[in-house]
Amino acid sequence: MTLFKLSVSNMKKSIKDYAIYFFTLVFGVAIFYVFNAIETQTAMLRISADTRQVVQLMSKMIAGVSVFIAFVLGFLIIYASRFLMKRRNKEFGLYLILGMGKRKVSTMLFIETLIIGLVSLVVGLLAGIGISQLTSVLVANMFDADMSSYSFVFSGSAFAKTCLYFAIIYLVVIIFNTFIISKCKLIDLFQNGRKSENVKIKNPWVSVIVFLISAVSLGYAYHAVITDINDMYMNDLYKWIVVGCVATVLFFWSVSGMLFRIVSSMKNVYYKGLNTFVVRQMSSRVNTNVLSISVICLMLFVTICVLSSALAVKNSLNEGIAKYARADVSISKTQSSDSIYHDEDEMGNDSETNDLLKKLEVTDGKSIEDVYSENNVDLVSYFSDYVDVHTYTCPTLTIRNYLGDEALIDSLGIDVNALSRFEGTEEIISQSDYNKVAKIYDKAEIQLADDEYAILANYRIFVKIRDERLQEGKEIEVYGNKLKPVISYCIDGDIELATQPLNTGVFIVPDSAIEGAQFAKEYFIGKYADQDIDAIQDSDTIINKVSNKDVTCGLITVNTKDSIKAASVGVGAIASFIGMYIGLIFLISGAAILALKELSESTDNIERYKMLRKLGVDQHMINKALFSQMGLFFVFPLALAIIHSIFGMMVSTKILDTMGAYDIVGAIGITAAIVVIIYGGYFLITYLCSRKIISE
Amino acid sequence: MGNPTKNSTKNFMENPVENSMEKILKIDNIEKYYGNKSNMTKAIDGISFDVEAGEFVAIMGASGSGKTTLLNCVSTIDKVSSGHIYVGGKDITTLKGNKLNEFRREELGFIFQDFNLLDTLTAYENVALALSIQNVPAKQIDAKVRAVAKELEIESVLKKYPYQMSGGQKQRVASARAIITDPKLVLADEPTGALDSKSAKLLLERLKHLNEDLMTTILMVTHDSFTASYAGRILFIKDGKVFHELRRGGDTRKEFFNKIIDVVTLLGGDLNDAL
Repeated sequence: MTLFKLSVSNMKKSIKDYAIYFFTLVFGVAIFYVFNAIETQTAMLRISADTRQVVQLMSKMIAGVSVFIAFVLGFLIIYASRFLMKRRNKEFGLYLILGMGKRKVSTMLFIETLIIGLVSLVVGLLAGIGISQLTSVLVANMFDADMSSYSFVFSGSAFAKTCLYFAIIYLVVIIFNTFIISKCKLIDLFQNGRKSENVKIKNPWVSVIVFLISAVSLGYAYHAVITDINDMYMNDLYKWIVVGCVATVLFFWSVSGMLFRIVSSMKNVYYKGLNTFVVRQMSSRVNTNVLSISVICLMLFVTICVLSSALAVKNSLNEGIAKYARADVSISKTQSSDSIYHDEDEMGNDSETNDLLKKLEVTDGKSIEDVYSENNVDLVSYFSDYVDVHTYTCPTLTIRNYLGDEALIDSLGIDVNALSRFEGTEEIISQSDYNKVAKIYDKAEIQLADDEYAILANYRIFVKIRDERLQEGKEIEVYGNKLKPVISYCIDGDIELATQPLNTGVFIVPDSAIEGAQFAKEYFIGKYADQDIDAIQDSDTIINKVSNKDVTCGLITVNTKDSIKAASVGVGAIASFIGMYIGLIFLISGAAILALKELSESTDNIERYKMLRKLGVDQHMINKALFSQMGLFFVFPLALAIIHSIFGMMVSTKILDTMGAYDIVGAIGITAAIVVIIYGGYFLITYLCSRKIISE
Repeated sequence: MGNPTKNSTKNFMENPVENSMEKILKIDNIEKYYGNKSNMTKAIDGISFDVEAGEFVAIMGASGSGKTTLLNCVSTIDKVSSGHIYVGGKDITTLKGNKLNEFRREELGFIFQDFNLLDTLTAYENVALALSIQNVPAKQIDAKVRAVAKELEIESVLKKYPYQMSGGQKQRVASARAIITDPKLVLADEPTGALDSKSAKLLLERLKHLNEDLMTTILMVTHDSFTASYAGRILFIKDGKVFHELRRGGDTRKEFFNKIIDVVTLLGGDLNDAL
């Protein structure tokens, strides 16, 4: 079949052009498979039911994101194939002149796309199956799961899905190519190569003005997002993102003109070696690619921010398990309704909320142990170590009067009219009860004199305000006892087990101060006697069963270490996997577009470099010129993306603040490494390929 | 097949002055083969000639005669199979790597049929580039560019890009680039090939001016008799050999042109299409 042979020989001939395209396809296929295979990959891991649910949720989200990713890859592939086709216009023109017929040319292209598609799919899937064995390890590591029963895994569903999605993408490419071929005119095919050589030079003053506009609006947007972030609504953030995008385009539109002005006025630099050539090449490249460079810059920006935030969240939550889950179970039960701050406007009126409120209002006086024994569960028998403590409230100690209206308005940004919401009473625990809790959590116990109090809190914003009050030495009155702070800062911690540091504050007072008061809430905290993974799961299930029951005995909340582990690692894992997924795809897409542009350009540049060589420029100088020209082209979008990211990360660290501790430096380090390896790798391959092309 | 006319013989004898001058280019029995033993093409088959300082030599021949190969060998773009080429006493067939680039950069100037200007640079920058790659300080560049632009009458197009210029202007810019480095030898490959007759004439007038007033040594390859008639000496090449030589002597350009036509007619065959 001659058409087939022609297709194959065509591809062999243009293998240099296709190499990057092919690698990008393989990357895309592999990444697509790896992320969609996560559920199957983790199937054999011994993980708790809670964790399993998280993994399933993650898979569902990845499936959703995959549709978006498929669109991105689809655009990339169509763009790249259109781009490769453009370069072959003369070849197609020749076929048509020889009387081949458009249908045959389309068929030939169809065969080519098919071959490339099939080969890249096979190679990509093989790579994907290999890499996804590593994700099992990664997931196991994140969830602290048992890897002993590990075996090689192949995900049939991910395989089928990858094939389907890419088949659709290639089909669209084929339709697109056929459409382009059927529409093209012979004269255009032959003249295409010459048309674009007009170097448009922008009016320098317009460049300068546009540059200033873009710089000022970028600066303003940066300023706005970092200063107003505290009381900024998401809408405002979107507005500044749009401003940033437009400013980015304007920046790249004007920057080459600006830089050219500056460099060409420095005659000593401009007329040195091949600098004239490099600067001119560079500015014409940036000039003709404003839009794609802007898009790539924004993609890199998203990649950097998403990847590093995702990694930071993951790290912080991993630490959270050790820090905030110091026992196996905590159970709390409300004993009187006024202990709980609730706001009817905010909670709404749906039936679920009403049930919750009803539960809250019941004060049956039964203890947690009673409730469990009524359900035929001997709670105490499960634990080797446990404590049972109570907290109280006092009508004279409300959140509002302790924190003060000023602090509520200034630090929390509460509206004056909404201050009444903070009329709720503060939670109080006796010194001896707190010390029991501290003991089971392996924390330092506290000693108070009869007229002293302390605060246990770890929610950052509240800690800050409470620290201010403590420093002022604010006195409180609890059932007629006047108390003053024992230390000028909050004790870090929580009574319950929690995913994140969200304890707004519990007052620790001498036992005598609340003697005889009615308690508001009961806490039961325990460590299991049997620490086997299956036994823990069974115990968790039994304990959860009672709280899940529709009991009308007050609100029982159960937190288990496993559920915290699942929830906390879950959020981190989902965030980091989806972040990595989107980040990696964006990164390879951006880099691939730049690489293809540069490669095709160097094919067009053969003549220019040949000419330089005839003028006696040696190979070393030419390589240097090529390197700096291409390096600048790759660095430009990255440089602005990094500047964007600095401010973007400031915003995301503010958001991360509300989630607790995180290690942003480490996350940025890993992100930088990933960007350098992938983006730098694309640059290096492109440079080496171009060098080969021009030295022929 | 050699059948030299009386005129050429006479001209040969009438130039004793030139023989005593410095030899810029000495080509010593060079050969250039393509292919392998079973299927060999001799593109150049034993050519020897000298070019002296300040000469304007044209090489004429039909396509396939080996004239472009000869030029490529002299310009070190191609390598000879045997024989030697001396430029200013230096054997360039033994040069390698960076020495070759250095030689090309410093001793030669090129004018190509298709101009070979960098389309991203202005005329000024194209000319300046030849100096900047020799690491000439930027301070000296401007004066030199302006001086050479004056000689070639391209001052008005210095700020333009190649696509904004006519073919003749482009070729004069290319010529400016070729001579700005004060090369020992300017090599011109079909310089008028892509020009209309008016531009061609203008260009040739300029080349003649460079040759006569600035003593630039020019070696030009052409198949066009009119273009060749601006040279001081013409070498006719056929099948890789020097077939005939014609010297201008005291003739006017018109008379010289007629002599060329005579030779071309006499040669018949391939060169006829060059008329």
